[in-house]
Amino acid sequence: MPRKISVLALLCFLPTILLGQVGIGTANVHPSALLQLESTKAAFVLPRMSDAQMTAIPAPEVGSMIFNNSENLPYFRGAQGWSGFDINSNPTIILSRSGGSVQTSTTGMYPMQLSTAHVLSTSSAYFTVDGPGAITVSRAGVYLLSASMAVSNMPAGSRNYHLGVYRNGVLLGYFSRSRLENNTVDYWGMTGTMMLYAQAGELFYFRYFINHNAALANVFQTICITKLN
Amino acid sequence: MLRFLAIFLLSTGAISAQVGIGTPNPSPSAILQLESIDKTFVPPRMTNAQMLAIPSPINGSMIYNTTHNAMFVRTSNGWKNFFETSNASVVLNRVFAAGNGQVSTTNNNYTNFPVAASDAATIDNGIYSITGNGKVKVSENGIYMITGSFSVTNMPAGVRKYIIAIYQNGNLVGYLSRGTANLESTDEWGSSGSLSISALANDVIEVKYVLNNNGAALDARIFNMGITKLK
Repeated sequence: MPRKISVLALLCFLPTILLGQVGIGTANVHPSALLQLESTKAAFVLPRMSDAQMTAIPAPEVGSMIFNNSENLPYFRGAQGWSGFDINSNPTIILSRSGGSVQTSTTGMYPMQLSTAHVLSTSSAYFTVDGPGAITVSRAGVYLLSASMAVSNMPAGSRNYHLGVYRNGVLLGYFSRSRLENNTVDYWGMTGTMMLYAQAGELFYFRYFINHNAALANVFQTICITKLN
Repeated sequence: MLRFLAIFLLSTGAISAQVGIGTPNPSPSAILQLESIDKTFVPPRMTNAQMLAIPSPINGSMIYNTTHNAMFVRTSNGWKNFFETSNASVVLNRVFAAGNGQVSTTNNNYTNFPVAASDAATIDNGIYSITGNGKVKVSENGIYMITGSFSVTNMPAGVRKYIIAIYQNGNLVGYLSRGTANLESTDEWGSSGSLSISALANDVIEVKYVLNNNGAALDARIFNMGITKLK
């Protein structure tokens, strides 16, 4: 029985597909569907082949899909070539810098000193670095933001500090804000994390304050933004 | 004529059986089985604008989006990119007006973050329900990452103990942050942190804080909490 139907179907597919819509398991193909499979107990099976057979296909169309038996994964053909579906990943930007100096002031904030030159990794379709400590997200969604910075020669004594994220000069939240107290000159750092919902085109500014009157030695400054959803 | 015949055959025959292309023996578990070791399956390919212009597509529809160079599937939440992780998330964020006195400071007393359903910047209703202040119920087993951040505008001078903590089903499971602040004069103060936990369906997650100020309420600046499903 399956043999008969598949042969008939195969024979009839070729002229049909050129002309209109096809339904399998349904007599009522939705107007928005080209091919509609309806079943509550049977699956759709992609062409299955080995990794070597997949890569041997001459000039596959962009958009093609197969199931790669060697990798045990569905694969799709993109503009860059074949990719497994496990490329699933969160678009992320990381900026990091070590060495150099950290400006301080007894009155005002500074942007974190991280610019395009300090991008370790980015998903450029999602993030643009607009200047020191300023990053635009190009799509709406839920973002995880984190920032940290450390200096190697924080002087003895107590002083206020903060590290926060701003939008158009408005505080979105502090990663950390308090007052530190070192007994002797020593390493010191601050960090924090936050989840925010952003609209497309929103610009995040990462700014810090360290109440001191001379530049300090930078150990690390890092900003990371990950799109979660 | 051919077209009519084909549709007729498919709509009568295929309702009760399967279709194989490249195989005479489709698996009983398959409605449509494509067999080939040198040919691929090509879904409909279109631009993002063309995809969005499809009138009322049905759930389960799939296309290859040539604008994003990715497969898209239609779900009850709209078109979704297959190739982009989508972590179900909830973000509760509240910015407070001056002089609000919303921060409880009974010593060593855990208080829920004062953010409610009306403060949701975004919520995936399939996974999360907000059941009270700083209190979220999850509907699926999984690994969840939780972030919490809060600040006050008038932290007094002197030593003040603070905690940001996560409770799961009424039990303390971890601190996002814990320590003492020691300001020289009244000033803004804030802290943040994150923790990942394993949770079961219907677990209740609460984000709480402690800020010791002998019960004299302080003014909240911003309270923010987020939960995202990592796995």
